[in-house]
Amino acid sequence: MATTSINEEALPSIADPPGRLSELAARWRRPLVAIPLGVIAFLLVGPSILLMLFTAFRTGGLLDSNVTFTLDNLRLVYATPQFLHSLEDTLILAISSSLIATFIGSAFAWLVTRTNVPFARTLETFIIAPLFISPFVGAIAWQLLGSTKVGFIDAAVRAIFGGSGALVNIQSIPGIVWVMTIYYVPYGYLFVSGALRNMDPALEESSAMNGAGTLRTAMRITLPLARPAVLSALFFVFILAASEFAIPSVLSPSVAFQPLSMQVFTFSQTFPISYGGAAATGTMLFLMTVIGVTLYRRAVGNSARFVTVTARGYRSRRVPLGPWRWVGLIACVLYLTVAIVLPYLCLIYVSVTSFISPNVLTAHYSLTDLTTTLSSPLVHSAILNTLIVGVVAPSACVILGLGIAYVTQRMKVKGSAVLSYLATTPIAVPGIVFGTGIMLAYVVTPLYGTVWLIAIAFIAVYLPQTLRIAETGLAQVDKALEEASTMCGAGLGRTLAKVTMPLIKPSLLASWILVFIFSVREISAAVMLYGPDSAVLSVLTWDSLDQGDVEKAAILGLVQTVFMLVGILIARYVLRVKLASSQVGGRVS
Amino acid sequence: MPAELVVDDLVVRYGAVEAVHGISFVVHEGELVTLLGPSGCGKTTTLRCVAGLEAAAGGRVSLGSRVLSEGKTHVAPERRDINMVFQSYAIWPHMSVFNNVAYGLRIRGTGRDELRERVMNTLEMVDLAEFADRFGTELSGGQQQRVAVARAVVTQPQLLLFDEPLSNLDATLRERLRFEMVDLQKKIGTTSLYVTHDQAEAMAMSDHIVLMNAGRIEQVGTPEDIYERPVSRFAAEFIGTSNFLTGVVRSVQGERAEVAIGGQVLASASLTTQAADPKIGQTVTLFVRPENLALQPASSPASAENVWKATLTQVTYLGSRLECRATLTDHDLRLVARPTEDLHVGDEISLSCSAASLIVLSASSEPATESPDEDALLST
Repeated sequence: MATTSINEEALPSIADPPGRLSELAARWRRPLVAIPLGVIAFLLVGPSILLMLFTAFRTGGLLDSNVTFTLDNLRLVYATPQFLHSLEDTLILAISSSLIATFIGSAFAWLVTRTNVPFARTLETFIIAPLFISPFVGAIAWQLLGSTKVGFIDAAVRAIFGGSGALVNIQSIPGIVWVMTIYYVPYGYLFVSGALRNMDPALEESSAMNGAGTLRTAMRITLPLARPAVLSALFFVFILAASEFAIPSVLSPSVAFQPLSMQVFTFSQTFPISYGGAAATGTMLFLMTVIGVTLYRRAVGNSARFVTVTARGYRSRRVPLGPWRWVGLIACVLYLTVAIVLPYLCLIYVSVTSFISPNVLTAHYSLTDLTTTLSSPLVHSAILNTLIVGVVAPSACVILGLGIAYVTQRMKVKGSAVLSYLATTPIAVPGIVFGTGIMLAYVVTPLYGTVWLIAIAFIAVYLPQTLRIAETGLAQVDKALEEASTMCGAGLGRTLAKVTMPLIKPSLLASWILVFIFSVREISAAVMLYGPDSAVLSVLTWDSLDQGDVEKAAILGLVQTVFMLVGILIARYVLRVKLASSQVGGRVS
Repeated sequence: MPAELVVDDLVVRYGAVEAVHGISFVVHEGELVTLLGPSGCGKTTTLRCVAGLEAAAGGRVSLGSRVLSEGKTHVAPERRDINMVFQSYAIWPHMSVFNNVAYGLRIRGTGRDELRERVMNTLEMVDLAEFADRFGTELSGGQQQRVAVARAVVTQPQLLLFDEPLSNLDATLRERLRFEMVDLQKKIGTTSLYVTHDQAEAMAMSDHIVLMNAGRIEQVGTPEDIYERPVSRFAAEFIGTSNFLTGVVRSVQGERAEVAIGGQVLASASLTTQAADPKIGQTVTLFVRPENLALQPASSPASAENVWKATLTQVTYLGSRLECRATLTDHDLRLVARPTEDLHVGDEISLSCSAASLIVLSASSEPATESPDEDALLST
């Protein structure tokens, strides 16, 4: 072995006792990292939620100097029939769509993981795909497809079978539930398929050895074991559905139909503006999601108790379905058709015809609308804004999430658990409510009306996602890997750069792409915050729809989709990121 | 350059729990000392404190003439010139074997050619030169372990730490690597501190063993010291198979004590230096290894020390030997015999053991550990 001496200067020697300065630095390193992170997390989350609660209790406008304490707003929202009706609408939408989506998602999960349905792997991709498109854009497409009489479906039925053709009406409560269900099915699928896949087949096999048949085993063993996962999915979808703003707004059957999320918007964006009313309605919606989150956490806790994972590599026994397996296949294909194929065919068709014609053969095809829309400076500015938000929000989210995860998990700074809780809070706040809070907090600052404020809102709203992914990623890195680097003589910075970061890079990339997709399609917080120069694509789409220009909305919806598609393709094929697994537990608003 | 490690009155606390209660020991230059004990005894905590990965609540750790930790002084682990082999090996999965080993040298700014030479030399030493371009995850457990050793020794630290480095390997491999590591350590001559819960490993590898229990040192000594002359029941039980007898001291003469066992049998036993002086009339525990209990022929020479009559209660044939159990007064004794002996359950037998192998243990483990005798602890 070479006997060259090591670089002595790099190490303290007898003559040079460890300097007081480096000692001081070592002692203050943890708080020096933790405190700024805490301040940023608080500034992101605290003022908006606190101001929203505060505003619910006061009179007058936002900048009114002689405000007084009042319970009028809360009385109005919590104790008048009109608002209780809003609550009822919200509950109807949330409960029915979460029940149906969880049921269909669970059935798909069983089909794909537990039966001999053909092409199971491809089917899984079909079922998960709708997660990565915008429900708002989907709702626009379904409005075109399913409007009574003038929609494509009714027109097609009329053309083929004759008659007056008022067959479907998407602008109704069942119609809204239908579209919401379509886009929530993947969540039900992911929760339940995860549980079914991890289930030790020996549990089912020992039931069979005890004399139970397939059906009895399914009912007595499989279903009870999957129940916590099914419940988690149910509460999770309930939270999403209760906060959903875009779908009910696009498909609203009448002015009287005002679920809570729409009510918040109406209060703060249409005359007479009442921020107190918006805030008070926000508290009611907030309460609902808090209850949902509590139930969800409990269900997830139970599913942890039911962990049945054993050694990997089990080939689970699959239930033979006989000819029924083709029915299963058709059901999955049908799902893909209504969730993606039909909506996008419809959007493309509308974009390339000059006016909406239900007859594909006689339609007047032209690219004029497309070129006009794409050459508009407003659209250019929206694309630029979307790009800014789509780069700034995920980058900041990933850095903050990683920082907080590192401080809580690795540095174990005292009280850092609070930091983690704080950063996770926005998960319980519906996007439209959070948007209201941010607006109230920043209206007096120069940031108001700029694209940066939208970015700030997105950072706060999506921080829980990146934090959670960073936490899981860090937890999977054996601490000894970092300690080994330290023992080799590397300082904290070098260890982070050479060991920790490379090892959690896949998680970080996945969470970046995820937040990128969320940021491109987000509408409910953005619609509360945009100004004349800061419209993003989703908001511009919303505006076009509001002005009755469905064709422009369709084109802008497609542009948004191209954005997300490029992101997903780069992630999948250039960066080789696995997206589906990191999606569970995420949130879309 | 090897240096002497001195741990003096080290205390470690986790919150309100004290995990290590003020322990002291020395690892002389070039020695391999093992911290041995059951899980949770504080041995790994002690090792991590020496590494600087955990903070000590009290006491002093020094290496050569440098103080690593004392009071408010806490030299950062990366500045201690110590390297460590981890239990999980901690081979960085995103780097090749070469880059794993080169890591520490790059930090020290070693030049390209020298770096290559030293890394390859070290890899050759652990027989892994041909795997330099592989990734850690492509190696077997035993190979990963050797990469970890190579990575630790290549920086030529003043002190090497080993945290149960063989515990994840199967028994055959473990035995082979045990000897490879001792060879390597002797060859490079680096002062080493080794943590294990495996008594056979500790016996085979160590110059000295520091036996720990519940955050305290139970005994320090050479493997032979601890095996032949344990100071406490814990030490005797933790290493090898032991017989214990309870008796009352009748007389004490120098290094010898006369002890009455079960009120009838009189035994002559040795007092070891570390045990407290027993008083006449005091109840004590005697200890003897099974292999030191000899079967006497029926007509025993009167000169033999400690000849006892016992009844065989169990005889197990193990090929190379017979393992027997016998009852002496109320005590259940284990002994071994040649496989050719004609022994049967129920036989009356005569047993003898030398006074030197029958040892009076300290009445409880408290006196030996609460005020550890510095000279005895550091005896070489």
